[in-house]
Amino acid sequence: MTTVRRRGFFENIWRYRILYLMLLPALLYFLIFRYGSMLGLLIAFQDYKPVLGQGFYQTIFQGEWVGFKHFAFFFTSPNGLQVLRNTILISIYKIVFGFLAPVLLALLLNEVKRERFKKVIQTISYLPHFMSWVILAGILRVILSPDYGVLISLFQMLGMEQINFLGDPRYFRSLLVVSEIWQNIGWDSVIYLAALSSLDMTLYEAARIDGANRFQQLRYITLPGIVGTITIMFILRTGQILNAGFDQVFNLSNAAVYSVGDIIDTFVYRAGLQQAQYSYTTAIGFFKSLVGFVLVLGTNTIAKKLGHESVL
Amino acid sequence: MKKSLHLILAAMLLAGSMVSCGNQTTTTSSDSTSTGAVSGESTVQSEGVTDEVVHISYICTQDLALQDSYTTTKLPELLKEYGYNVELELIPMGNHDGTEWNQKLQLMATSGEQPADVMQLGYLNTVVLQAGWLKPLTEEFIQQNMPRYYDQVNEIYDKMWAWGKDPTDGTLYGIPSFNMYGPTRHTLAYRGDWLEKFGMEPPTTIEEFEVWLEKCRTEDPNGNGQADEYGYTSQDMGGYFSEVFGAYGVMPGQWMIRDDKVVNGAIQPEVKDALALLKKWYGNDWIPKGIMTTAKRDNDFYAGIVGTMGQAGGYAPAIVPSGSYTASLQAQNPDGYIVGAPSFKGPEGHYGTWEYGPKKYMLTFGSHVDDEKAAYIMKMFETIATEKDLFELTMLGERGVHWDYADPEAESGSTVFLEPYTDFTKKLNEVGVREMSESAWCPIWIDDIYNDYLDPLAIEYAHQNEGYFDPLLGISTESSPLYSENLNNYVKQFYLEVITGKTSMDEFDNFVAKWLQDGGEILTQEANDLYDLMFR
Repeated sequence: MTTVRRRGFFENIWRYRILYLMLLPALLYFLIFRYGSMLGLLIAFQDYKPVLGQGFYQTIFQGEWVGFKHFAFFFTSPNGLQVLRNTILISIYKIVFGFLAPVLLALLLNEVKRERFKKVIQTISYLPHFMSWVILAGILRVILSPDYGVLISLFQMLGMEQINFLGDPRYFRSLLVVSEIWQNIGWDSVIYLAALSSLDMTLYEAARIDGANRFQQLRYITLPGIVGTITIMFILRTGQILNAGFDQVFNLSNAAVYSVGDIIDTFVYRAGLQQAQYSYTTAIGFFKSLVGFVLVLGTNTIAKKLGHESVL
Repeated sequence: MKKSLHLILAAMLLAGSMVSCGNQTTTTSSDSTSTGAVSGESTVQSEGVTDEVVHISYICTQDLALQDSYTTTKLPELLKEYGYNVELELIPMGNHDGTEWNQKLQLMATSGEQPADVMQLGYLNTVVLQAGWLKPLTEEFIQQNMPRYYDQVNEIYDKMWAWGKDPTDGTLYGIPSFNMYGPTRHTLAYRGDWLEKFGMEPPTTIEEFEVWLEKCRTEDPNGNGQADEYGYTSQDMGGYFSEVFGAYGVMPGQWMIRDDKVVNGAIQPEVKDALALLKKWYGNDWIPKGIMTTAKRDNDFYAGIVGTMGQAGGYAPAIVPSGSYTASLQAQNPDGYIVGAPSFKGPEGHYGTWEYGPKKYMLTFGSHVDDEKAAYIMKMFETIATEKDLFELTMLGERGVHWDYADPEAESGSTVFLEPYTDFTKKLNEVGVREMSESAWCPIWIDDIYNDYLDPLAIEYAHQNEGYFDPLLGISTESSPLYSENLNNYVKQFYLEVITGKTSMDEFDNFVAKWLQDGGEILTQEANDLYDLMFR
């Protein structure tokens, strides 16, 4: 009888040492920049002050511990609650109205048979993704300015009320949602188009023979075929619920819409980078990460229970 | 195995080189500290140039000069004639933008880097102070080593020393510099050609200003056949509608002294009158719908769609015929020209705009710099500020190459930069100068010299408008970072809602109550404490 000797851990590493060596830079990257930097979270529980001649990591073990003081201040300050509310609302609106938009575009593009037309549409819809929000905000101002905007001229011609989309709290969140869809619909549809291209064409052929129309093919073949991809994208997007889009809000917000547009990231930018409240903003950032983590786990568990693919 | 070893060695070498790169500034600074054997005053100034070179490392605000700039390379040569043997090292921050420059400075301080020997700061940065970067100074020490400049500061505004002090304990760390054009250097800039078309003199009262606003809307001053002109606007930044608030004797965003107490301009009763006026103007379509949202103070003025530049935009030396704002206007409107005028007066005769006050930047020293070296550097800077050839070099570059008088035959008055140094970045990077009242290597100045280089018209403009500046000079108190920005946003939003008719003026009392409750009361108390500590 022959016995199969199980290789030891280190023996295994040695055997595949070249592969492990190739893996090393990526591991080091994650250890140093993703896990190592987590040590910095300690200052969320301190009144951090820099010390001359000492690096950040030396300093953080010497700070004065203040427990949950910064967390408490954020949740009891009126601005803290307001930015939290704005962040969650804007993010939910973006998920509700924006998440399925690229799926829809991908399905529509999938049905287009003229390759040239399809490519033109794809190029046009991808283009805004490659522009920064500084440029996109400039374009939006030109279009939506209540004094000189193209859209306002149109409203005037039609005898409609002039709306200051960029300066009216009633419309600002809608503007954020619509402009984000405009920027990302094309790019985000790529992953769904890839999923669609991997579907087995014989299924469609069989369905057509069985008399299925286009809508039935969509419902019974296409959608079930990409539902796994949609689920994974949804789980990942949910984890980002407290990321309402710093670049976009920072470039589009103004005095008129702070009450509805100020989000955690713009708040942290002002308090942390501009006013150097490092401990306070680290506490807010820590809370944000925790919420994201819990949501990813929660959504993942629900997806598993529903029998869909999951990321963990 | 051999391959693996090579890989590991390569990685170690790479890591080693990265570590040495990261420590570059630290090493330089500590080197500079080691040149502590500085020649004292008697050696340097009575016996001429010493053999020993004094190394001075310098972090200069907004990188007003670089290591390879003309001023940085030429200055040591000229300084030898005055007994200073120096080697200048400018530590680059890689940014000419004030906000980003400050963020980089803060990150340097938190990362444990050593400070430079000398640092020119935009304000007394709390992080830099907490990190122990700054050397404590005394007024006596400054008086001893910069006697002429010490007297000059006291003459300009003796309370300005507070600008360089730690607000928590009153310790002096920064030598304040001031703006050469004075504390009230902004005026209301009008399109002179529009006034000419209307047959008007610059308005002096609210009623006359309203005539101007109406004419701008109805008489098509830019001649494009469309009613796209406005006479006045404000964008979402500090000093919004400051001419209107100034006409009623208040200035939101600034502290004021009333009945010997510090109060905030944003919540004073006069604000209601100013808001009512703006609401009327908005309703009459005399100011743009995009005020404080899409409106752009400077761009709309240059584009020929708004006829004034207020909101502390009319910087006196920039709106004269040889000034940079006139050049920007004429780039888009060749026949356009600017006339500066005092702001219109309100019912009680008040007028004026937002001002930043007398302060400019401040000069600080690294905590490692001993008294001897600090004294040497102070004396060097006072020499630069008082000797004409050094002053000209450090403020403007070389005459005939980088700059000249607006009238080339003149020996005083308005100066202009020559091509290609009219370009902002080129001027900073290659010459190492920006404009009068800002300089890397001449961080302090004395009026005996600088008055010869100022445009008389700019001086006239700079003194015609009653200025409103913060009696606390914008010094941040302990709780300011927590509350002030959010309160300012709240104020702006409330004002805009009243002006545009979305909120009733009756809500003003509730607005004041909420302002006080959301941190305003704490800030007011701290502002009074600061005033008592440093300004009485």
